[in-house]
Amino acid sequence: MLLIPCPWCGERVEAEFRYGGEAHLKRPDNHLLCSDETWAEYLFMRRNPKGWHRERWMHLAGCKRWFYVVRHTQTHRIAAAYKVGEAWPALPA
Amino acid sequence: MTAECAPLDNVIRPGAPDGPSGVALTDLRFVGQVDLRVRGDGIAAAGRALGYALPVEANTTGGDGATLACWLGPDEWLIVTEDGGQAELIQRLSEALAGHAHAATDVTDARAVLRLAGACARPVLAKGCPLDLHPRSFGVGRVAQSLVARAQAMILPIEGGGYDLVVARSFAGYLWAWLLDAGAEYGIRIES
Repeated sequence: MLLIPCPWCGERVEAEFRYGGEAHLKRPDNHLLCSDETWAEYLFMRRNPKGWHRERWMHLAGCKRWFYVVRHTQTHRIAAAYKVGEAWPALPA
Repeated sequence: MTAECAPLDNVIRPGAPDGPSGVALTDLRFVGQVDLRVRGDGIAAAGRALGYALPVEANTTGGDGATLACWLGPDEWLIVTEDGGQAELIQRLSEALAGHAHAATDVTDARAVLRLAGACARPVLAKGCPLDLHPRSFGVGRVAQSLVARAQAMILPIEGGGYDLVVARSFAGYLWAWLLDAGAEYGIRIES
C-alpha cells in the first residue's frame, strides 16, 4: 500500500485517498467551438508514462482536499506532493 | 437537541463479561457538534468568539473546557460542546463572523460518538485503523480523520489512553458491532 504525504495532514495510507488521474490537463477554452479531435484529446487521451507521473489525489477520509503527487508508475516511489496553486516541483532525474 | 432515538438505541447490546475487561465501550449518545468553515481573517474572529484561538496546526485541537475545536482541514473545524449548547455556539460564531464568508452548521444529529477506553483501547483500535496510534505521535491534544474498519471517522484521543470515535450516524451500528468483536479477545465491557 502506498504511503501518501497529504500536504495538509501528513503521511497517510493509500486507503484514505481517491485517485484522480493525470494532473494539469488543460480544458479547451471553448468546448462548444473546438474540434471533436481537440475535445476527445482532452477527454480521453492520457500520457500513461512508465516513469514519473504528475497525478491528482484526494484525501477522502481526511481533509477532503485535492492535491498533486509526483509518483513513479513503475516503482511507486513518491517524490513530491504539492497543493493546488503551488509551483510544480521538478521531476526527479 | 435531544431527539427521541439516539443513533445506537436500536442495536442489541450484550451484557458485561464476567472476567476482567481490558476495554470499555460507551455510546456518548448526544454530543453537541458544530461544523465550522471559515478562512483568512475569519479564523481569528472565530477564535475571539470562542475565547481561544482555533488550532491551525494540522491534526491538533484547542479548547477551554467548555468547547473543543478539532482541526479537520485548513478551513474546517469540528467544535464539540455539551448537548444543547450548539445553538448558542452557532449564534455566537455567526455574530462574530458577520462580514466573513463562513458556515457554522449544527451536525449534532448527523454523527454518533463512541468512546473506546481502557488499558487495551489502543490495540483494539489498531486492528482497524491505519494511523500511528502511539501516544508519542497521537496523544491528547491531537485529532485525525481516518478510517476505522473502513468507515470514515474522526478519532480523538482522550485522557487515560482511550479514544472518542466520531462517525456518521448510519455507520454507528456497524462500528459498534465491529468494536465489540475486535475487543472480545481483551474482554470488552459496555458502559453507559
